[in-house]
Amino acid sequence: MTKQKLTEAKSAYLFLLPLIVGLGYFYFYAFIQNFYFSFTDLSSFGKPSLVGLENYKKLLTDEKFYLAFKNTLIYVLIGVPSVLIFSTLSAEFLNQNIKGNTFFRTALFIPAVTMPAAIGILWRWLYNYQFGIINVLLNRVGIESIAWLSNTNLVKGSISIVLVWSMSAIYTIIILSGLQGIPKSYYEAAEIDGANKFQIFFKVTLPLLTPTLFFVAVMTTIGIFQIFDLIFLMIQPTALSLRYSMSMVYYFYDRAFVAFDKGYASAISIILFLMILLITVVQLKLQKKWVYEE
Amino acid sequence: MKRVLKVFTLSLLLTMAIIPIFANGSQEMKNSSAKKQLTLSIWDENQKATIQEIVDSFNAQSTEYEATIQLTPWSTYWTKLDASAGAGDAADVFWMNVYLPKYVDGDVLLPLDEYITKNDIDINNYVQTTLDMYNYKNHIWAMPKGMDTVVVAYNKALFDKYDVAYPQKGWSWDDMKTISMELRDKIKKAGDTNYPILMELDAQPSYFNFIYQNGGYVVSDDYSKSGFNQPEVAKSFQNVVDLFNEKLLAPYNVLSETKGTDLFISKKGAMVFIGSWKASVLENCSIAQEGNLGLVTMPSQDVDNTSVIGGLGYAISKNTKYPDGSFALVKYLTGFEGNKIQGEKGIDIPAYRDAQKYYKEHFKNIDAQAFFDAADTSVPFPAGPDINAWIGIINDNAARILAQEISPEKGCELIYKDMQAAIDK
Repeated sequence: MTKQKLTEAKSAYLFLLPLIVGLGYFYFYAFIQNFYFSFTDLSSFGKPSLVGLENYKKLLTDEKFYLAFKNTLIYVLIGVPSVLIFSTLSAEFLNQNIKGNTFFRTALFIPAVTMPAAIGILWRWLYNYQFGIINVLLNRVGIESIAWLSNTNLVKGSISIVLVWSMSAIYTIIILSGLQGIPKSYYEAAEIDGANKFQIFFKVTLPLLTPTLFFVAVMTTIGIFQIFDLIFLMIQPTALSLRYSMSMVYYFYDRAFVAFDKGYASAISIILFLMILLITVVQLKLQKKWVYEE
Repeated sequence: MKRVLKVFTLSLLLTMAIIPIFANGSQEMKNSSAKKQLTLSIWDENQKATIQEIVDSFNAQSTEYEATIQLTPWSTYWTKLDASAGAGDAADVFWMNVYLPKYVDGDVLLPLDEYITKNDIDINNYVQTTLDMYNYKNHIWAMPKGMDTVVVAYNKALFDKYDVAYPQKGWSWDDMKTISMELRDKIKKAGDTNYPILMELDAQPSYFNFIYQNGGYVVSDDYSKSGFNQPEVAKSFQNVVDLFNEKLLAPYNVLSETKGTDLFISKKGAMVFIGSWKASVLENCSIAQEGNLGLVTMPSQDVDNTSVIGGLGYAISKNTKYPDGSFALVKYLTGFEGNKIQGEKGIDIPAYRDAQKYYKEHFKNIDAQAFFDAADTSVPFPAGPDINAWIGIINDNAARILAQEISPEKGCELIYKDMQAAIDK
């Protein structure tokens, strides 16, 4: 390397140093420490002692863990396709040059810049069985009130609606930029061949959009596996519907900070990590099957 | 080289500029006075101003010590305490509740017996149940600060509207049902959507009391046995389920989404089982300001109308640098003066009996006498060293019972199995 390149490289590394030190300590070291804790009986005080696979064995027979696991899987299975479909449709809609485009872009983007706490509390009141606006409006048109958050069969769906709505915002923007990256020449060619709007969408737009959609699918999956804040904000800890809505991260929080059983909680987090890792690897492998390469 | 040096110096300066943000000011603050520093850790911002008053008063009369308050919100209080106590670095004095046994077993508390004798404290000044709460393994680990009891609040205006007689002290569960049925029928006739009874479905303001009222217990006095195999416990849950089915108690869906207290102060119900820790909420609500808020002790079930007593105490860290100073602070906070200020500001019912009247006088719109009466038939909040292991088991299954997903018998069976296993471990 030339002397100048060496100097530039050195300054580059110096600039990166604070970030790397921070990441190293708060992420990588913390991750390894958490992994270590999962093999211990860490609780409130005292030095944790190694207990081998004790925590993992306990997980196998833990009914609450299975509930959390099942609930989380359902959130992912409902949420990922929903986010993909909703974001794509929104992006396609925004891509048309209609009046009020800027207004719609802003409106759709608001969840991305709103605190999850605000979203959770707002929807908690919208969904309220007795006082929520949604039920009030339903009653006006003669429909009986629905227990959005306390009906054990509906609670996951209700939370998913809020989840999909709030997550789609940022992905709409990403897909929109993906749409705008499709060369106009393809559309022109399709129109010349006499394709209608639907055919264009499914045969031209979507295939070319698949790299972006792949990115959204992977990010959404990873994100929804870690769902916590909406559940924490919208469901009371003593409500029965918590049993049917709690996620793995919620159960982690419950074990670590309510029951002070931190070693066990670490084991839960490691299982979640492995789960997400596995699914992401599977998605990457499937990439070749459905993502269109230019 | 020059450029690298510039970049390095700049980064270093920036880092140095940020470091002070992380410095823990309250611990290392240089004090102009030569007094020894004590820290007092609490979690309730509503009480902080009043506690500060007591602390200021202590500081003024102490020649040797100066105390400062550290406020940590409830959600992070125990995590912080655990971390600091584990590192031998906890505040000198801190609030303690039913989690006490865990901290005793973790060997992070200073036993107070010798300090109590040395300082001539007369423990008979305190409500006995509050002393029992901090007595574990034959030592006293905290001085009582206050106490909470559970009572029934009722909306006189609603009772008047439907022309039903008010609940009377000494009433029974059957009396409550009779009154509620009358309310239910008259509410329906009037086409309104109010509820006769409201409840918060947490253990302390509801079913924990009912268990004792029917002659059962949550956990044995030596904390070694779960009480959920007793038929009395299943019965106490059945009584609540009956209230749901007879439409005397607001439906589960409503109560599990909106807190009973909020429904009550929004005038959606005639009666609510409520804890004394909501006293200022009641004092300031429109029902009370309109002079329509009544308080009465809970109705008796098979045995009596026992209220579970919760409360806080002041504990001292085992690793405190100034045990005598810390105890002096605790003595002041829990003495007559400290309790008088507590009572006058109405932040907590004093555990010090002679100061309780000041608490009563603080409230203009409610008659706090019922809170004291409830203490006459009371038990300490069931706790023990394993509470963190079994309280979740009880909460989860109680939710299933109250939502009528499983029967009270089945639910208690499940609780007993898991709870006893957790204790036995």
